[in-house]
Amino acid sequence: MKQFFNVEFAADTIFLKLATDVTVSICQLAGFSNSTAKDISLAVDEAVTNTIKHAYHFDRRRRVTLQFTITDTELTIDVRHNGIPISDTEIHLPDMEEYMKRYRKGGLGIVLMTRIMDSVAYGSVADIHYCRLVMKRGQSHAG
Amino acid sequence: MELTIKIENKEGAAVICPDGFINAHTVNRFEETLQNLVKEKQYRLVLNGQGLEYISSAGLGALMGVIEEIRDNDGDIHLCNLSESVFNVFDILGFTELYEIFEEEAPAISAFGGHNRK
Repeated sequence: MKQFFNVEFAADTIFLKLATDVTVSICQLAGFSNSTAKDISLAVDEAVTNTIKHAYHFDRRRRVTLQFTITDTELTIDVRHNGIPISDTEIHLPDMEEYMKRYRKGGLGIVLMTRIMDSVAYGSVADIHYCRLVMKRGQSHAG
Repeated sequence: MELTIKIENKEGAAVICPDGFINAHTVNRFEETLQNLVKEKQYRLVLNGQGLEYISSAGLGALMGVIEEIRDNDGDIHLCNLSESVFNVFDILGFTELYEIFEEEAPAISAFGGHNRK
């Protein structure tokens, strides 16, 4: 059986804490350990931050929606917006070795997301764009 | 208040004690603190994470923004008292290889004496 939860808020970084707190609660409901729940909430923080920054250019009048879907096998979190879309082909993961040698700044959010989650994908349905974060439910992440 | 930052000078090092959350909403305060210290030519920094509940990549980016100038001036940023979840963020990104991390504040400060840059 699928369970859905939706949270919508203004595209303002003031709501990042709300987004991460809600994510931790829903992850715990889905049976993830506290540690995994915190990691997933960090991935959501990064996805929401990227949305506010790159899709909306900090326009607080716009809206961000988090849709959580829990199935028997996985938790899917869609970070939705109707701003500037990002496609998978535009995503470039930095070479972390080079990054640290040259003390680069920025672009770490996507690295965190991909290292924490089982999958990260970008897509669109009509005018709604999303960043989809998926974490499998299983023994290794269980609380 | 989501983030307050206290700075203490101890044995020639500036100990930065953030209390609360460092995310994209609060990072400007953290970034300004680091930049002001560097402007004052304070190149021996200790980030004491005792009160730091959470850090996102924005906070790590702020550290990266000053580390080059600090190391160019024979200084460094030492980290201490990190909670498991904050340490985990550094670890996921491999930043535990870039920064020296100590369990407690005193050794993080005294390590500047015979300092080896990583």
